[in-house]
This record gives sequence, structure tokens and C-alpha cells, in this order.
Amino acid sequence: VNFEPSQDQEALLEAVKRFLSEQLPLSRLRLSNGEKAESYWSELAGLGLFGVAASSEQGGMGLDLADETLLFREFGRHLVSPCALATTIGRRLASLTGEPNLAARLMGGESRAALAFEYEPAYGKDAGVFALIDALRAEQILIVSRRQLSLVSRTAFSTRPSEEALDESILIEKGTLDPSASVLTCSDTRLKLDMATLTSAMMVGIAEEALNEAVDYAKERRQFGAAIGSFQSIKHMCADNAVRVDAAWSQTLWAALALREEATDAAKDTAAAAIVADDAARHAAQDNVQVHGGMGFTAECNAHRWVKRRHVLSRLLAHCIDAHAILVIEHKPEIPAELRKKV
Amino acid sequence: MQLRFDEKADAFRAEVRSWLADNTPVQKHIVTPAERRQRAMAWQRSQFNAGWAGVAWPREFGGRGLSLLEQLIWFEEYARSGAPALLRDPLFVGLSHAGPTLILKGTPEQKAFHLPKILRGETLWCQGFSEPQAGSDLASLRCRGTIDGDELVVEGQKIWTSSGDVADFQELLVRTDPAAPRHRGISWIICDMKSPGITVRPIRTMDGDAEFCEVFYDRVRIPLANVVGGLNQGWSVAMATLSFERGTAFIADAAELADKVDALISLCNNAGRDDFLRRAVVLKAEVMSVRAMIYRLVSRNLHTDRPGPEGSMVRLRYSKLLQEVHRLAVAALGDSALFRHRDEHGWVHGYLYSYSQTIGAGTEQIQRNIIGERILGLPRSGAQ
Repeated sequence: VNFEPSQDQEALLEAVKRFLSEQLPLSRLRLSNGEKAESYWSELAGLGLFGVAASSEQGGMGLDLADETLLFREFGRHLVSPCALATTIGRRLASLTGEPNLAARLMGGESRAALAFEYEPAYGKDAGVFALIDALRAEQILIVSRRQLSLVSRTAFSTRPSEEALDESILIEKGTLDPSASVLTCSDTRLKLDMATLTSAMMVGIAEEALNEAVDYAKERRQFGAAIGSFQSIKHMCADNAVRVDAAWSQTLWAALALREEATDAAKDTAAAAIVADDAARHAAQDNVQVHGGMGFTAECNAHRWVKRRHVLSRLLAHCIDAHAILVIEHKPEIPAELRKKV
Repeated sequence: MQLRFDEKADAFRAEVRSWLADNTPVQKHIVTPAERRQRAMAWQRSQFNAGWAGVAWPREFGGRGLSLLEQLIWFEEYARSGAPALLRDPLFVGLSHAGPTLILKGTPEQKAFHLPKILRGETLWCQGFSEPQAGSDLASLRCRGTIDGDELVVEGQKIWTSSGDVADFQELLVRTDPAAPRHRGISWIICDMKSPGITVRPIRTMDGDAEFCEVFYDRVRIPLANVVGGLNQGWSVAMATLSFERGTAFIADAAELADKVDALISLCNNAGRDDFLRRAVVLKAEVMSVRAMIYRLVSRNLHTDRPGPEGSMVRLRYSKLLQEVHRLAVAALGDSALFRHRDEHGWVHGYLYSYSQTIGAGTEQIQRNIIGERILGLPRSGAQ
């Protein structure tokens, strides 16, 4: 057992952290309506970050899910476009389905993949419509569903003029899929679980940064003659989130290692990570708005960004795996089959 | 990074598992404090005889001299075997608190005398920290220790002392310098519970047990040689082990809780309540994350000799979850919760007991202060 990153991992992380803080400060989001991923995409690809788990024969780093998990936590902290998830997982899907050229183009940054999932409207209309996440400059679309993952050309979707999205830092479009389009499909459970784990890692990054912002602000902001972080109402809120973050990161790392080592309970471990990481991000993001008070409600303050991105990733997780069902189905056999369906 | 244990650890685990399978005593139901003491000591004795006591304790004091990792494996297997629950083990203070404190801060004589006895299950320890006027504000304690020759004369009162009525020794905090700033006038001393002048009065608790006591000291004479870590240094001695009080033993608690959560899922299913079931599944995920927190903490602590404040995060999450699991179970039990069934999981009794978990060993509010101030670096409040 060892949860500590190796020296090689530390070195990679250092380089990535430096790049992200120089090139992707959150201030970039204030200037744009829709993520200007263009400027940094080729540089992320140039660092080899979309082929971390690709073998060296494929031109990748030859590392594995644990390294990717460390990386995606950093992506989460910097609100890197969810296209990073789609491209990383899309590359593997292309490779698994015998499309090495497409895999290489995704890894190299010449092609970008974006996420889509079948839109489940609460009001009945829009059946059969997909939500496309930040697909403006994407060439490929990774369609996420609980059954399978599929890769399809962006041109197979006809999209409508975009409505205003909850997370305005990325573009969210509604689109319909041409039924005759050729689709690469992979129903490998492992790929989906890996994707859920990397999404959880991004959630942890979001949770940590939201918590850091709240703590930093609570140390500076003074009311009643004292830093507001000295008041227990604020301090305890932050402490609870520190515990959630620690739990979420511990469980996410556990899931990554369990998947990599093909442990018996890896699916359950991944489901648990998804639940606790989403919970940590939700609480840390919403409490950060509260700690910032009036400032927290403004568009100028970063606090709202964590709330919104967490919401998008939470929907993605829900489309990727049914975490609750996994935890019940894989439960001890004493539960009769008809009861398992209830979750 | 690696989740898997190496071959050496796996071999150790197999050895532990097979010994526990053959030697775990059959659990019987509630007994008097004296019986509880006797039973715990006999069980500790058989662990010691087989070489399983103090897996990570130094060999010179009868321990096995292995790392925290083996200790973790021991506790994991311990919980798995269905051996007597550690959560309310009367030997806990000696094994998981006083013992580690002595290892860290004791004199050679104190270690040589006490540590082997603790490991062999020959002595039972209790804690004398809280006082009626010094609960969460522990540093305001007033129980006096006045130097008289080569002895301290102790005068005052302690409260919430678990197993105080059956203990042999007590880790006792007394004020030895009333003039000093409050954190610097306290000493951590070893008190022989048979000393003349000590009166112990059991207190009945809300779960119906009488496991903790108040202790009165009427000119109790304690040798100065029983001071641990230096006169007036008691605060730092107490803090050295308080923050991760249960240490690796937490993994056994977490494993027991994981079993309870599985039982809870079945219970919610049987109750036909989908809303309860969904909450139970979330609790399961959260309990799993506690195991991951402990693993990561142990992994980080493998190369340091003393635990950091991160233990407070495990403590806080674990105790809240223990309560939530029992509260949901009692809700799912419906009318059945009107009686204290001694069912396999002891839900109703456990529910009542769980109220203590966010109070003892530092309330959840104190744990949050520790996390906020020592981990996040938030400023202390004015009233300190």
C-alpha cells in the first residue's frame, strides 16, 4: 500500500501545475463567452497530456490511470474544458476499436473530442436530443451513456442555435444525431469506470480550489473587528469541506488504484468515489459563494464558476454510471433481485 | 502508488487471519464492569502469548516491532474475524493512548514498568482529563498537584472517566503551576488508582450502561517520578497523541461500520422504503471513503513517528457517519425501535451509544476548530 506520488509523478505534476498557472489562470474565463480552448489545446497536447496512459509505441507516456487521476485533479482546479476528458477517453476508445490514426490525431491535438449525452428533459419535450458540451472546435464527439461509450464525427450532429447555458464558460448545445452516421462503439466497462474516476478527480480539483478560495477570503475579510475565519460559523463550514475534500480525494485515488490493479471491488470503489467527489464539490462550491457574501454573488468573483462547472460534471457522471445501483447490485447476495431494482 | 499489499504483507495477513479464526473468543452479551475487565484482560493475554499484542510497538517492550502497515492489517483482520468490538474495549486507553504516549514521552523506567504490563493485559488504564468545569476548554482544568518533597499531592475532581471503577492506572492531567500561563502549568502524570484518597463514583449513561465515572482526589500522594514528559509539560504530552487517538485502530472501527452499513441496506430494503435505501447507499459510499482516508493517512505516517492533526478529519467523519447510520437504522426499524432488541447489530443500543461519539475525545466542534486552525490555518477566535 502506498498512496504517496512517486518522484516521477511529482515531477510531471510540477511541470503541469506550472504550465496551468501560467497559461490557464481563471481570469481567462472573464474575457470569454465560451471557453477559448483554442489557445491552449495544442500546448496541452504538446505536453503529451492526452496520451498519458498511451503506450510508448503509440507515442504516449506509457503511464496509467493513477497518473491520469493526478493530472485531472489539476485540470479540475483550472477548469480545463471537459474536452480534455472526451479527448483522453476518446483516444483510448479509438485505439481499442482499431482506429490508431484517429487515436494518434486525438493525442497529438490535431483532433479534439467533446462530450455529449442524451438529454433527459424534465418537461417531456426534446426527446432524442443530445447535449453537446463545449463542442465548438471539436472534430469528434464522445457520446456517454450508461450502456456504452461511442465516438462519432461532429458533423453527424445537427445543432440548433445555442441557448444560454448554466455554465457560460463553456458552450452547451442541443443537437440531433444523424442515424446513418458511422459510430465507433465500446461497451468495455473498464473504460467507463476510468472515465468516472477521472471525472471524480476533476470534481476533487474543483472542491479543493473552491475551499482554498473560501479559506483565503476568510483569513483576509474582516468584520466585527476580526477576520471572519475566526468565527466558528465560517471556520466550521470550511473544516467540514476540508474533511469532504480529504475523503473525496482519498476515495478517488483508491478507485484509480483499484481499477489499475483490477481489484475485485473496483466498480464499487469507483461508484463510491463518484458519490463523495460530487458531494465534496457541491458543498465546497456552494459554501464558497456564501463565505464571500455579496462579492460571492457577483459574476466578477470566481465563486460561481465552481458551482456551475460542478453541475455540468455532475450530469456527466450521472450519464456515465449509475453509482447508486452499482453499490447495491454489487452488494452481498442476501438482497433479492427484485429489491435491487429499487435504487 | 499502489493499493495492493506486497507478498510479505499478504503472508502476514494470512497468518493473522488463521490465528484469529482459531482463537477469537465467542462473544456473550452484557456483563458487569468487573466481568468486562476480566474478559478483556484474558483476551489481551492470549493475543500477547501468541505474539499479536502491540504489532507496531517496539520489541523491547514486548511488541512485535513491525510497521504501521502490519498494524493496519492486524486491525483489519481483527474486525473481519468478529472478535470483540474495539470501540468499547476497556483496554483501549492503555493500548491506544497511554501506551503510545509513554513510548513517545516516557522515561526508561516508566516504559520498562508499564508498557509490558499494558501489552500483556495485566493493567487497565483510564483517562483523567475532563473536569466538571473543564470540558472542551480542557486547558482551564483546576485539579491541583502540589509538590511536597518528592511527591505531588493531588486535590480535585475528574469526570467522564471510562472504566474508572475497574482501572489500575490513570493518565491524569493536573495543574502543577497555577501562576503559569494556562497551557504551561499542567503536568501529565501516572496515577495509581489504588492510592489512598481516591473515590470513584460510576455515572449512568443514556444508553443504560455505567461505563464512565467521576473521580475525586483527596490529598492523593503521587511520586514525582510518575510525571511523564517533564513537570508543567503536560499539555504538549497530551496533544501529542490526542489528535489521532485511535490511530490505526480506526481501521477496525471503519470495517465494523462498513458491515453495519451493509446490514442497514438490507434493513431499508426490508422496510420497503426507497428513500431510506437511497440514503443508505450514500452512507455506504461515505463509509468506504473513511477507509480510504485511513489508508492514505497511514501511508503518509509510515515515515513519521507522530501523527499530525489530519487524524481529526478521520475522527470527525467517522463519528458523524456512525451516528447517521444508526439514526437511519432506527428510522427504518419503525415500531421495532421502541424496544432494545439485542439483535445481531444492536441497532437501538448502538443508536443511543452513538450520541457519545461526537462528544468524547474532543467534541465535533472542537475537532472542527482543530481542522480549521491547524490544517487550514484559519485564525483562532478571540475568546481563547
